[in-house]
Amino acid sequence: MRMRYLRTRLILTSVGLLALVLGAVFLVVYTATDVSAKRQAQQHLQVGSNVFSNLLEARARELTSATEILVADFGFRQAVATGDLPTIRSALLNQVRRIGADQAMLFDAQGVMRIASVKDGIAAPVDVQALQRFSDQAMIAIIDDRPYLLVEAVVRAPVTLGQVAMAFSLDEALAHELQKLTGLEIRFVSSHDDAVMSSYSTMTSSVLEMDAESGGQMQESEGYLTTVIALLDQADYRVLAQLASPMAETLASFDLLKRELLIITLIALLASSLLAVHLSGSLARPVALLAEAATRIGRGDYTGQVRLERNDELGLLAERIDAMRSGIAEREDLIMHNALHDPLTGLPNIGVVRSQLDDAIASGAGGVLAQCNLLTADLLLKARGQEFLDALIRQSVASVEGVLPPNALLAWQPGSGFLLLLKGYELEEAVVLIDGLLARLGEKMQVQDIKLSSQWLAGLVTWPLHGRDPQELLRQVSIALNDAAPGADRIAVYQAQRDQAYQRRIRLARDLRYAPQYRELSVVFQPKLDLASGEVRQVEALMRWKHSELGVIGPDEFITLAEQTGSIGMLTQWMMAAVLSQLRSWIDHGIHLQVAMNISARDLDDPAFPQRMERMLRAQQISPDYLSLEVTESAVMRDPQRSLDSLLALRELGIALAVDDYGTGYSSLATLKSLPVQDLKIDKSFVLQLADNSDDAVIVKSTIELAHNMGLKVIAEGIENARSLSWLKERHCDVAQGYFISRPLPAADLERWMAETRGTFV
Amino acid sequence: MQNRLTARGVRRFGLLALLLSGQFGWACHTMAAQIRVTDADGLPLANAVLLVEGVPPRAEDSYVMDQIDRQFVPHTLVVPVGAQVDFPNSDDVRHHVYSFSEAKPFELRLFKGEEAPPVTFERPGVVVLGCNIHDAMVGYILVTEHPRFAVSDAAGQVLLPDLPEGKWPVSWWHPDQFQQAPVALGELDLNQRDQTLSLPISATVEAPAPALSPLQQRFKSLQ
Repeated sequence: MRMRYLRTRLILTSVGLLALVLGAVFLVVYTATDVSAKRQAQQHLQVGSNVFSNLLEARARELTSATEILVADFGFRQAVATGDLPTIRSALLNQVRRIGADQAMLFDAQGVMRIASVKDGIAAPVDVQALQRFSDQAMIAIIDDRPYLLVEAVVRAPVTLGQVAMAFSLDEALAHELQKLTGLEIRFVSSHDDAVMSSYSTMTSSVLEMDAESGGQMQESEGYLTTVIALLDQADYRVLAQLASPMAETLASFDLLKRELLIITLIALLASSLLAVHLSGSLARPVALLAEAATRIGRGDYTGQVRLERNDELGLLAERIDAMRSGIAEREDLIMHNALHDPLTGLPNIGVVRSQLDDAIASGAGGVLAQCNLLTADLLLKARGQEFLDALIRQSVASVEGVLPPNALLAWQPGSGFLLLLKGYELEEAVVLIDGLLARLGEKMQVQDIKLSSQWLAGLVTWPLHGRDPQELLRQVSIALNDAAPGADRIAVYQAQRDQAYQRRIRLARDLRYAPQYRELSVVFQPKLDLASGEVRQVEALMRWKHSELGVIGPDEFITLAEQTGSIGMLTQWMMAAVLSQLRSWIDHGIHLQVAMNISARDLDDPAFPQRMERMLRAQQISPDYLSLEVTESAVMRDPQRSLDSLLALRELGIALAVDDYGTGYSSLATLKSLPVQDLKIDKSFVLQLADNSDDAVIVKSTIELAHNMGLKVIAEGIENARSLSWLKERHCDVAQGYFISRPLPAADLERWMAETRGTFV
Repeated sequence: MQNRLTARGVRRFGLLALLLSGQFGWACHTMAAQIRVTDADGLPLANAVLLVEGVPPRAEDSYVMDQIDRQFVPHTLVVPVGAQVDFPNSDDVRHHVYSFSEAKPFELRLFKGEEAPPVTFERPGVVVLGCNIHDAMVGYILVTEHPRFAVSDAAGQVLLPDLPEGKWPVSWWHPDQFQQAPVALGELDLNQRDQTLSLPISATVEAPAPALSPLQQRFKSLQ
């Protein structure tokens, strides 16, 4: 808007100035032509007046001559001298006609009027009311209320006998004649006592009906310039000639000029306006562009380059604005970085956490927020100073940065410590991750020539369970951190969730990782009875966890937990080592048993798992056929293709494969057929109540038959009585496993059991 | 016009003075009367005519109205009733002499030299002469029954030779008032010496053109 205003002002200023100048020129010329027209009219009137007077005088001279010719005529003189009135009258009439006069009069030597030509009858003189000399030879008279131009001639024979006067009416005919010659409008007025007696005019208009008192002065009226010549002013009698020069004509001659001037003025104004619009546009447009660029920069958009292809100041201004743009962009990046990052560690600060937390909550995703703090910070600060503490923290950051999952946000807030935002994490998962982090942070490190291990604590809060407000979550997580204490409670979850089972799960999830380390894990073996031979050639290795405080933890509980928290791989690893170690030992002692162990879906997901398996077998120099791996039906079916790859690789190694817990999933035998498995292990839920439940029996029976048809061996587990065992045997189930045969036993006990029961189940 | 005397350096007298000094005039029986005529202003008056009654008429003269240099010469001529006047033309141009006067209207058409016949003036009165060709030519012939008469010259001198002694009724006339009949001055002894006669007339001065035309003057005077 302002740009338009500037442009409008530029246009208005320049056009206005031009209009002013042109208007002034126009006015001056207009006025000049008016003045000139008036002057011309004045000159016209002046000249016309002079011509008028001269014409009247010339007319008078002519008439005088004509009259003198009459009076010089011998016969006329004789008639006058002899008083022959009829003859005189006829002579006068004749002369009147000849010279175009209107009146002729004869006065005798005493000045008595003897004859007036216009009147019938000799003794009927006219009334000469006023008479005044007009020129050398002419007079103006009022005769019988009418104005006349009068000339006279003396009749001598040879002495003066009288005078002959010829009168010419100052009438319309004369006025018209004079008008032709002078170009002026003319009016003759005679008046007595200011009452008009007669008026003859060339015009019908009232222009000349003017005040007679203005004699000699030019006056302007209705487009005419008028003047008055007093022809006679005697007593109360007056004869005036009023002359008018029509200014309209002279003005009209300027009209074309004025019109042309007006057109030129308008064209000039239009052209200059267009020019002004163009010029102001060429000025205002780049300014508008720069203003737009400035607006963009103001909004925080620093992308577009500001550039004007001009070499003038505007171009320079554009360059400067562009320099300003990039400068602001750089500085804003820095400010933004400083605003969002902690200067000490270079990590994002609490603001970023808050913002991302906000976004995550808004998007509906759940997650965990953790806060970790250095327990001994105060002590270190007092003992070593800020610089040392800063170095320690920087080093700590370096040590943990690499191990964080990619979607985790690690932030540092002075006074608060680390903040870890784990979007999409379950609490248990987060606990394990944080614990690993704390372990890492607690490792020995060298800081400024001092080797030390620091102790860190963590508080956790999860959303949306604990809340949806970032600020509230940050408060809660710091409360949780306060609850944390060195040792078992180094990770504290926000206290809103204090129920025992939950706390136990959290604790188990945390502690499971340390179970191998603390030698809390052990392996037991359950014999698998070959029903055909009645011998035990296979055992299933099972993991036992005896928690140092919580006692024995059921496999169902901790294996599930391990799978949830991602610790299962570690457990499998430990199990493998333990099983292979035992196998080595047995083989060395001449005991040949195929050991089956469980692997999880996660193990199958790990493409490196088969190689690792092979490496470990080779390390213990154990033939792969000593090993059997049991995979649950659900694990296989989770991602059959991927599982297939791993299973094929394992099978190629020569490791036997079995489908565990068959019947709990929804796989078809056809699917199983495509898997490189040799054994099908019917879930114990079908077997436990086999005799009592006809449905289970049907399923088991048909499963055995179908498996056999597909070339699979069938293993039944969960056998708790003799009936079940004999039923399975009758149905040609290949292998049986269960408490009825033997509970899972530690290796030494198994060896003893095998020695004792040899041949018992035949 | 012989024996004309001129009185140079004569003192001017008024009419009264003339009357008083008349007593010393009677020296001889007949004398040549010589009178100086002035106008009302005392200036010499030319063309003034003095007429005397009661005396015997002079022997018949021949009367001539010549035309010289487009002027009638003399300007004023006095003739007795019945006199014949010759109009010789001394100019080398023709003249057309006429008169519309009641006393003697006549016309002598375009003549030269002695061509024109003499004109006889039978009736007393004033005859104004004009020339139809030359309007400026004006001449006067006073036809009178008076036995003796004389006209003043340019110096105002009137010569009446052989005038019997004694007092005689005297009248005067002047062409400037030609329509007026001769005016009686009463009986005067004109033979007295150094007489000056002052006439109640102003010499017509050739004044510049009047501001008002004659008609206008008349008109003025009428109002």
